[in-house]
Amino acid sequence: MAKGRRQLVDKLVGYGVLTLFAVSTLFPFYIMTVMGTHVNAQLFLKLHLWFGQQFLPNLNMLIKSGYFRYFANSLMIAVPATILTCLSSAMGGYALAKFDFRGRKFLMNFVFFTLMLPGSLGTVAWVWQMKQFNWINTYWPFIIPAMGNTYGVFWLSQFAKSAVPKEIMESARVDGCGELRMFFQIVMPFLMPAVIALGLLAFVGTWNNYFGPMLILKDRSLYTVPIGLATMGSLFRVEYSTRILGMTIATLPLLVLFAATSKHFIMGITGGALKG
Amino acid sequence: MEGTRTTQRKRRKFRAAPYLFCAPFFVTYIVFTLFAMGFTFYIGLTDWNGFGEMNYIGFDNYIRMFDFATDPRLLETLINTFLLMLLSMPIGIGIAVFLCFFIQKKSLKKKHVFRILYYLPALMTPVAVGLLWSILFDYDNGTINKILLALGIIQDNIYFLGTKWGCRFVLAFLLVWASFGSTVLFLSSALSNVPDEVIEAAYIDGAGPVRTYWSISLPVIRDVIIFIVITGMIGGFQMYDAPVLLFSSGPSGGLPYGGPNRACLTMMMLIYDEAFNAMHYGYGAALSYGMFLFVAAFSFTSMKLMTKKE
Repeated sequence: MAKGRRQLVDKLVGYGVLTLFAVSTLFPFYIMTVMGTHVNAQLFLKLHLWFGQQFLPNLNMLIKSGYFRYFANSLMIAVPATILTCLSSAMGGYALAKFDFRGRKFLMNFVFFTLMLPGSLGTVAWVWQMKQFNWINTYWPFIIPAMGNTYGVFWLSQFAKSAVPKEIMESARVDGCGELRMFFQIVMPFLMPAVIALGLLAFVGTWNNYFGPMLILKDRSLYTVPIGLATMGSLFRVEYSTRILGMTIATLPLLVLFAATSKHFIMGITGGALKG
Repeated sequence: MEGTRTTQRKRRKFRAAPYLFCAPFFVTYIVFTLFAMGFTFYIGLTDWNGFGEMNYIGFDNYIRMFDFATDPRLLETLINTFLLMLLSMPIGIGIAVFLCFFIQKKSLKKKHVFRILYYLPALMTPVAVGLLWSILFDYDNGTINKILLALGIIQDNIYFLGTKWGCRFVLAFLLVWASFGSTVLFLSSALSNVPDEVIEAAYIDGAGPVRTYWSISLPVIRDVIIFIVITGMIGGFQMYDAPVLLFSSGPSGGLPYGGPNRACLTMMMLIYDEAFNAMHYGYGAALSYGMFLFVAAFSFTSMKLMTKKE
C-alpha cells in the first residue's frame, strides 16, 4: 500500500516536471500564434494571451504581400535538395560500409577529417565560385552542393554497418541481383530510419537557410521564406501582426513534417552514430 | 582457400560499383565545399573587393586581424562566443540532464511525446526565432516586460536588448530554448544504451534512483556531453541568423548590428560584415581562417582533455 502510493507520487512528480518544461517550451510558440491573430494597432497596447479576430485580415495582407511566393520558392529548393542529400549520403555511406575496395580506408578518413571543418569556412570563395558558374539568382547553389553532405555520409556509413545484414546481400548476389537493384530494393529499406532522419534535418536546414540565399538571390521574386520574413518589415512596410502570422506559417511545414517522421527520426538517431 | 578465391572473384566483379556509389558525394564535396575552403585562403592573400582584380598582397590580412589594437573585433567575437556558451551551455545541459532523469524512468509512459515537444524549438526558422525574441524582449512593447509588470515583479520596463549584459542574457536564453531539446534527444538515446544489468546491480547494492542516475548512468554518457559541448561551441562561432534578427527591427526600433557595444557579435557576423557589407573580401576571407583557427584549437583541446581523463 505504502509502496503503491510512493510509486504514484513518483509518477505524478515525473509527469509534472516534464509537463511544466513542455509548457514553458511551447509558450513562445503560443504567444507567436496568438499575436498573429490581433489587429496591428492594438498588438502592443496590452498583453494578449488569447486569440483575436484578425486572423483572416492578417492572412489576406500576407497573401497580398506575396508571401506565399516565397513559400513556393522555398519548397522548390528544399525538396530536390533533400532528395539529393539522402540519395548521395545513402549511396556513399553504403559503399563505404559494405564494400571492400581500394581506397576505402582513405575515403573513410577523408570523411572523418572533413567532418571537423566548419561548414561556413569557404563562404567568401563560394560566392565567387557561384559567380563564375553564373549561378547568381538561381537555385542551383542550394540544390547541387547539397549532395556533398559530410555529416550525412558519415552517419549513413555508421548506420549501414550494423543495419544491413550481410547474409541477405550475399543471397541476393547469388541470385544474380544487379548493383542498382541491390541498392534500391534490398539495402535502402534497411537504411530508411536513418535516411528519413537525415532527410528531415536536410529539409529543415535548407528551409531555414538564410545566409546562403541572401548572398545569391538578388531578385525579390526569387526570395525564400527566411529572406521574406527578414525583409518584410523594413522594405515593404508590412505590419507586425502580419509578419508574426508569417512566422507562424513558416514554422508549420516543419512541424507537420516532424510530426510525421518523429518516430523514425528518434530511431535514426538512437540506432546510428551515437551508439558507442 | 576456396572461400578467399570466391571473395576475390567477387571483388573483381563488382569493382566499379563502390566508386560509382561514392562519386556523387565526393565529387560535389570536393568541387564545391573543399575547393571553396581552399580558395578562401587564397582570397585572404589578396585585396579583392568583390569586383575588381585580385592583387596578391601576402599575409597582410592574416596579420592585420590579430592586431587587436587597431581592430579588436576578432578578439571580441571570441570573447562573446565564450561568454554566450558559458551562460547558455551549463543551463541547457543541466536542464537536459535533469529532464532525462525522468525520461529514462521505466515507470513513465508516452515519454517520446515530451522528447518531441522539447525538440520543436530546434526546428523553428532561426530568422523567425530572432524576430520573435526581439518582440518578446522588446523595451516598450515586449511580452516579457508586460508579464513582469502585470505580476508586480518590476516597476519599470527592463531594457533587455539595450545593454551589454542584458542582450547577452537574452541571446543565451534563446540558445538554451532552441537547443536543450536536441541535448535531451542525444542524452536520452545514449542513456537507453546503458545496460539494464548495470542499473539493477546498483539497486541491489542499495543505491537510490538519483544516486544510480548520477554515478552509474551519467559517467557512461560523458562522451555524449563532450560531443554536445564541442558541437555547440562550433555552432556558436558560426551563429548568424538569430543574433542578426534579434537586433534588426524590434517594435521599439533597431539596435546596432551585433548588439550594443558589439556584445553579441559572432564570428560569422563579423565575416559577413567585412566581406559582404564593407566589400573587403580579402579581409573577410582571412577572418574565416581566424574562425577556423579558433574552432580547430578548441576542438583539439577538448578532445585532448577528453582522452586524458580516461
